[in-house]
Amino acid sequence: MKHTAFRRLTALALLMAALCSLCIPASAARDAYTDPILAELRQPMVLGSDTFEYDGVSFHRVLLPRYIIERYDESEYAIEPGQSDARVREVKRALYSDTTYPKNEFVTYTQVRADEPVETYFDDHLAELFRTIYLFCGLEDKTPCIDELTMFLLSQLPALSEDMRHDIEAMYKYRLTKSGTYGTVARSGKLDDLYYFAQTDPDWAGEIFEFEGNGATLKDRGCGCACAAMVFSTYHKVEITPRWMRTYALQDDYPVSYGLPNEYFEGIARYYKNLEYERYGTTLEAPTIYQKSEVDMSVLADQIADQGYLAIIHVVSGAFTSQEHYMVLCDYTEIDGKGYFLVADPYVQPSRYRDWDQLRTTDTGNDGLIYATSDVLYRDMKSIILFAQDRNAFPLYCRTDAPESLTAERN
Amino acid sequence: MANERKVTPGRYLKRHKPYFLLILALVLVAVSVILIVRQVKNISGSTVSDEPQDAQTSQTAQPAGDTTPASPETSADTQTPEGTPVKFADGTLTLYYDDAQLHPTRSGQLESLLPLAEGQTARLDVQPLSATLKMLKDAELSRICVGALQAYYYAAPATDDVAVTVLEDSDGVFDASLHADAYGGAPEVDARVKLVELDGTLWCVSAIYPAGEDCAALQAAFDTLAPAAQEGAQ
Repeated sequence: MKHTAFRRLTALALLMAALCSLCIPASAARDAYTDPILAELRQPMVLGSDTFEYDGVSFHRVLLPRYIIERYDESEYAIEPGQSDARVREVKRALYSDTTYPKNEFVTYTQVRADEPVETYFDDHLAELFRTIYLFCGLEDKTPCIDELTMFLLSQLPALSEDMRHDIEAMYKYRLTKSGTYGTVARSGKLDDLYYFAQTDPDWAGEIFEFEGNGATLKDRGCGCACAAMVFSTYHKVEITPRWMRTYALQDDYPVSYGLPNEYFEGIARYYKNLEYERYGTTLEAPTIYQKSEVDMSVLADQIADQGYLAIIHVVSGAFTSQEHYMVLCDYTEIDGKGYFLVADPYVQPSRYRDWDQLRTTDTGNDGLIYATSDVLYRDMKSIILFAQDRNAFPLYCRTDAPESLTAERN
Repeated sequence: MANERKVTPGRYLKRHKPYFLLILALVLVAVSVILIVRQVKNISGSTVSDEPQDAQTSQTAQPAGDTTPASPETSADTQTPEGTPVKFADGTLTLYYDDAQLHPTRSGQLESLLPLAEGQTARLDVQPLSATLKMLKDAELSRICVGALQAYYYAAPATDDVAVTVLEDSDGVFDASLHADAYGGAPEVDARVKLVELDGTLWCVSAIYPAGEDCAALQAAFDTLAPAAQEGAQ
C-alpha cells in the first residue's frame, strides 16, 4: 500500500514539473509573434551609414534588421574555433560547393579533405571568414562560432550578389594576407601559414607524370609541379594543387628525364599571369632564372625576408637529395643568432637529409618545412628561379555600389 | 468473499480522501506557478517605466542639443491647432504642420512629413501594420515601438539599449517616447511612436529627432496628431 502511494505521488510530482516547464517557451513564442509585424516596417534607413571603412577602403554593408539578430540571441548550440563537430563538416562542405559558389573560394580543398581530422575541425581560416562576414553585417563584436545566427547568415550568403560575395571573399583573403596566416591547412586542422603542397601527398602522389613511358608518378618526379603550385597559390591567393600544375606541364610537353626544366616556371607564369586578376586584381610576373654564379645569398635573404619575394631553388645531390630537386625558399629568419632560410621541401622524408649541422627543424608539425643555412643551400644550388614580387601584397577594393539586405522584406 | 462490502463511489472517495486532496493541491500549485510566471514575464519583459498614462503630465523627451521647448499638447477640447492640415492613414488621421518648414510626401504605403531644409534626417512616417492592439501585450507593443525606431538605422542598436517611456496606453492608442544613444555612426536620437487603431486598421506613426537637428516643427506637428473624425467634430 505504501509503495503504491509513493509511486502515485512521484508520478504526480513529475506531472506538476512538466506543467510548470510549459511556461518557459512562452517568451520565445511571443518574440516570433512580433517579428512578422516588425518585418512590415517600411521606413527608409537614414541613421548611421550604409558603408563602413576598412584599411582606408569603404565597403557597403550587408543590412540585417536588429530583430533578426535578436531572434537568435539564445542558440541551442555554439561550436567554437578549435573544436571538432559534424556541423563544421556541413558548413565547410556548403561553403566549398562549386555549384553554390562557382566564383568564390570561401573554403579550400585542404580545409575539407574527406576522412581527415580537418574535415570536422573548426580551423582558424574558417574563424577568420566568419569574422569578415560579421564585419559586413555590423556584428563586429561577435566572436566567431557556429551558432544559430551564424548558420542563418551562411544560409543567406548565396542570395547576395556576386559583387557582394566578392567583397566578402576579397576582404577575407586580405585579412589572412596581412596577418600572415594565409595558406594551406594541414590534415590536423593546424594552419601551415604558407601555401604548402607535397609531391608525396597521397591525394595525388600516384598520378602518372612519366617521361618516355617510364611509369613515373608525381611522387617520383613532381617536385617542380609542387613548387609551382606553392608559388602560384601564394601569389594568386587561391589553392592551386600540383595536380593542376602537372596538367599544364604535360599539355605543353615540358617533362624531361629528371622532372621539369627551369623554363617550365617561366612558361607557366607567363601563361597564367592574370589567372585571378578578375577575381582579386592579382597578377604574377614571369620569374628570372639566375645561375649559381649570379646569386648573392645575402641579397637573396633580404629579398625574401624584407621584400616578400619567393624563390624556387634547383639543387643537385647533397643535403636534400641524391639526384636533383626543386624546393621553395619561403622566408629568411635568424634563430639563435644564425640566419636560416625557411625551405618548403615538397618531398616529405626528413630522414634522407644530410648535413644536419646546417639544418634545423621547425616547430610547425609539418615535416616538409625545414630551416637551412645559406652555406648549405648555396653549396647544393644549381640555379634560382626568383619571383620578384611581394607575396604579401593584395589589392583591396570594393566592387559593390550599394548595400544589400539579407531579408527579402527590405532592400 | 461473500462478506465483502460493495465499494461505492462515496466509499472510494472517503477511503482515498488524502490522495485526492493532495492531487487537488498540486494542481492548484501548478496553475498558480504558471500564472505567476506569465505575470512576471509581462512585467519584466517590458522596458517600460511606470509613467502616468496621461499625456499631459508625461515626460516628452527633448532631443539632445535642441533647447527649443516642445509645443503644448493639443487635446480635443482646445481650438484647432495652427498650421496646414494634412490627412494621413487613408484620411483617418489629421495633423497640422508648418508648411514653411515641412512638406508631406507619399511613397507606396508610407506617408511622410519631411523637413524642407536639405540634409535633415528628422522625419515623421505613417504606415499600416497587420495587427490589432488587442492582440498585443504591453511588452510587445513596446517592442514594436523600438522596432519602429530601429528600422531607421543601417545598423541598429540593441533593443535593450533603447529607453522606452509609455505616454499613453488606452483603447486604440499606444504612445511612447524613445531614446537611443549615439551608435554605429548615428547620433543620439529621440523618437516618438504612436500606434493608433482606427476603423480596424492599426497605424504606426513614428518620428525621429536626431541630436543636432532642429526638430521643433516636426515635434509640434506630431503633437497635433488626432483622428480625423475627432478633428472634424470641433
